[in-house]
Amino acid sequence: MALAKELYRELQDIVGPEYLSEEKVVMDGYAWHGFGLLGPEPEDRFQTVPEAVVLPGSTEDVQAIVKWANRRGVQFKPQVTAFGAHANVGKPGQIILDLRRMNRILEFDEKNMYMVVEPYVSFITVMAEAQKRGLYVNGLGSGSHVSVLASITSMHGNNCLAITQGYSGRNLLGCEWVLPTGDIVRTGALGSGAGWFSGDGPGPSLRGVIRGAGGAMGGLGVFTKAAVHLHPWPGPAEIKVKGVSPYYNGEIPPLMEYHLLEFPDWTSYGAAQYKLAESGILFSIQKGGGPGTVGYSVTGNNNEYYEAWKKGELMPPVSSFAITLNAYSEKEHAYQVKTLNQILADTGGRISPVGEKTDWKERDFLHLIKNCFTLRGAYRPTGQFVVDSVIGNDTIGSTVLGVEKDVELRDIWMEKGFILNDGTHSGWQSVFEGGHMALHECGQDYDPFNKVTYQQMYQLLRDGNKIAVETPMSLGWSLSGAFGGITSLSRHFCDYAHWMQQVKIALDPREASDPSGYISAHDVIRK
Amino acid sequence: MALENHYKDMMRCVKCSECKWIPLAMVKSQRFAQCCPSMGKYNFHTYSGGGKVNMGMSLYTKRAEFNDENLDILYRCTMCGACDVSCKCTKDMEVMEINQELRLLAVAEGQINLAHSPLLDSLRQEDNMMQKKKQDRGNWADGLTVKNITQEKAQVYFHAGCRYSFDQELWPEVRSALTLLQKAGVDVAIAGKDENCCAGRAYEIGYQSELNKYGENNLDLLKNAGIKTIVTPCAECYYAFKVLYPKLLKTAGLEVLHITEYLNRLIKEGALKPSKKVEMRVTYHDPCHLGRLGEPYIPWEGEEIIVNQGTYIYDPPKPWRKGTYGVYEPPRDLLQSIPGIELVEMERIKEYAWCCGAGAAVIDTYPELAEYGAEERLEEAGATGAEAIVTACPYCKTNFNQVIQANHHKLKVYDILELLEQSI
Repeated sequence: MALAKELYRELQDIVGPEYLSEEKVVMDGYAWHGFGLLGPEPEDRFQTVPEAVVLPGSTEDVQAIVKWANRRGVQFKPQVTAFGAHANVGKPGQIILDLRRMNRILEFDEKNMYMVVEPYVSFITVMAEAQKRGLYVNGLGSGSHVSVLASITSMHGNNCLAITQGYSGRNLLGCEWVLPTGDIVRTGALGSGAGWFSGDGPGPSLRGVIRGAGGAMGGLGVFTKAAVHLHPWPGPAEIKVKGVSPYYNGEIPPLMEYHLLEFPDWTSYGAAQYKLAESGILFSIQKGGGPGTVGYSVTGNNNEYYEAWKKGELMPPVSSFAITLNAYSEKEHAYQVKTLNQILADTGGRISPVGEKTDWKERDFLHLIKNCFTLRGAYRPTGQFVVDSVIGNDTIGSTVLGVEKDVELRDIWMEKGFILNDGTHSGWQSVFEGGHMALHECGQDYDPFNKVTYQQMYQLLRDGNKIAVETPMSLGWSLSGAFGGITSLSRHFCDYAHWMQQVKIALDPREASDPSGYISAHDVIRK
Repeated sequence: MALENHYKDMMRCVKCSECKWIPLAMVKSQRFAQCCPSMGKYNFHTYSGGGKVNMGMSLYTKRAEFNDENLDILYRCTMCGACDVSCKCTKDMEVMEINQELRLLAVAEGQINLAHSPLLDSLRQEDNMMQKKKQDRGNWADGLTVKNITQEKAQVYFHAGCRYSFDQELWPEVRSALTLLQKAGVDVAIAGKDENCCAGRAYEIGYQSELNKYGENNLDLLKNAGIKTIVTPCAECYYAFKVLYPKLLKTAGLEVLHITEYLNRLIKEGALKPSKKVEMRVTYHDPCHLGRLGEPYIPWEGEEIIVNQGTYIYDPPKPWRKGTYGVYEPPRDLLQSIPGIELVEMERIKEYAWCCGAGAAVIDTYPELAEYGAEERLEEAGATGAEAIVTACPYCKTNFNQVIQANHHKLKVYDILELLEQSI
């Protein structure tokens, strides 16, 4: 089914014919999704097909489309880099606003440490531009190719840089927001005409409403501009990269360090993270390399990894994490190294020899700075993974417990023969902002072409949900939105879905903005 | 290999969009971070490498059929392979091969893009895609004393290629290439008016039977003359001889060199010595067919197997074409052997170089895309402070030249051969 001719013509009048399509293969491209479990069969990768895709070029275009959608009773879903099923339309009859044409960096305020971006500006380009000016930005665990604006306004997001760069929602310094009704709101200091320097005023601070912890994932209108908070970058204006794809190695500058740290047990692992975070010496920190293993991330293809693995190489101990240090001066660098060594001595840890091998060191270093190899660990091993809901976003201690729980779950499922079993437990964990908060996620790689395995992954998810509720973990992003069973799990987490529903009803009375990644006024929330 | 043989590759597209950017580790700015001219120009996801993979699945599963609109989408692509390199930097799957299979499928199903018809007619009637008379093919060498392989034996065959043969503006370069080889004492021959199109471009737009026919013809010619080494100044011909013929016609044992590789070898051996100063600050544009697409083809037959309860590997190991072993250094070495030349690099180079916009017949059929590609590259070249952009492909040079003249750019464009000739 396509849009009625009259509706199509009206949309065409807004953006011009070259920026609107309802061609079937184009629609199928937008309906395709690569994430995990999307239906009863592994082949169920074409999800709901949009009626049309429109490419607005400005806030004015977006506003006109949203007002048209309200007038015409057509639901819309905004998307940017669209990495994830939440970016798709939730049900038939909806259109997609692909914001790709809105791709400019609008303002760079070095003094006040922020950058104003349009939706289709990726983390990697902001990293590159900021680095030249002695600043840096948080990335996203899913990779630095994704949208900065989408991450800070609409989605849960953090990565190994969160220790110095904060996590996504914390870096939102105001935005221009086309509400689901088509009205425009400007938040933070921008809302009072004072510029973009503060997300909380003077002017309306709506960060809690806009995004809360996880973001509305396209369910609350369209964010068309946002100011992202930048943080100090002590390193050089550019990290030199050697080699030819896929063998890129980053030259570690003299005042930077990369090490993989290993510990005898989880207690010392957690204690070291607390001490390191409190010491303020870290620039980035993470356990694992996404749902896969770092070994995949530092090799050029799966065969290479497998050959090395057979020789017992690329195998860090399970209780290990990687760090970088980044200093302004030799004196500061010496202090950082001395502090690191002292903490290792105090906690029984050591610098792992696995991480000191040149390729591992220079490639994982590059990844810990640029988030450039996420897909190697996440998708290359088997082609697919599921996040098993053993996700936590709380204290370091809580997340270390989460990683332990994941190891237990993973052992069971490896023994059953349904998930990747190469001896590397690679649940992902990171520490935020001086260590007051942390996050862990556990992805399980499986063979998506094995139908039995595929079906079993649903049971693995249920097992993970049970652990998450019983432990309890805090709410993970995979539990948000209709995809994550928000209506059934809300009761375990302070009935947060009720509050979301009230926000949705107040801001989107006609429910024009696709609620599938957020919540609908019509959803029944389990008590 | 047909589309169905890429089923797993198509299923493995996770729509991450890495195919729209240069490899993330190499991004240096917001301005020059994209890798795909088609996406840059037309914006819808389907124009990207991943979009083509999704298109493949849509057509393979019969959810959609070819029509004029989606054929336009399919062919508004220079087949430059940048998406393939970016995707395969982090994943083990094929992207460009699926794009190629879609074109082969379209032609096999009789879904013809009418814009290609004049080119194909020209190939079939005149043995070239330049819409020129075959009898004029050898005119570029008029006045030169050189062996002809249809009459004499030689150690090295110099294949000029269609564009060098028929575009008179390019004749000085191709003549100087041949003259430099002779000057270095190389026993070289040409085929003159009997040279045929390599048909690489025909294959790229989906016409495999043309590649088979012309490839076999060309190989017969070389075999009869006892040729062991082929040298060509054309990057597209290089790709056809170096990659497509071994892949599709199972040729082996021929040494295929681009002129920059051979001349660089001769300079290193001392057979040629650039001595005159050419004072110029230049930047080098990697032609796609010489760079990332030009890495040697290694035959492989094997199967995908699962190890460690999930990891897919290939038995025997698959020689991935990830752009790693393209021809990147010889042209640069050659440029830097010229006294007075200062080489400055653009942001997007080597395996992640931006395409000039001309490839896969786009220069003939979608001029707006060809212009966009060249404009983008000229801006990037200009940002280096270079006076000139230097390339090693006649299509790149022609496309740049057309856009420079049309849009009054100050930047000059040179074939690398022009600068070398000035120096020797």
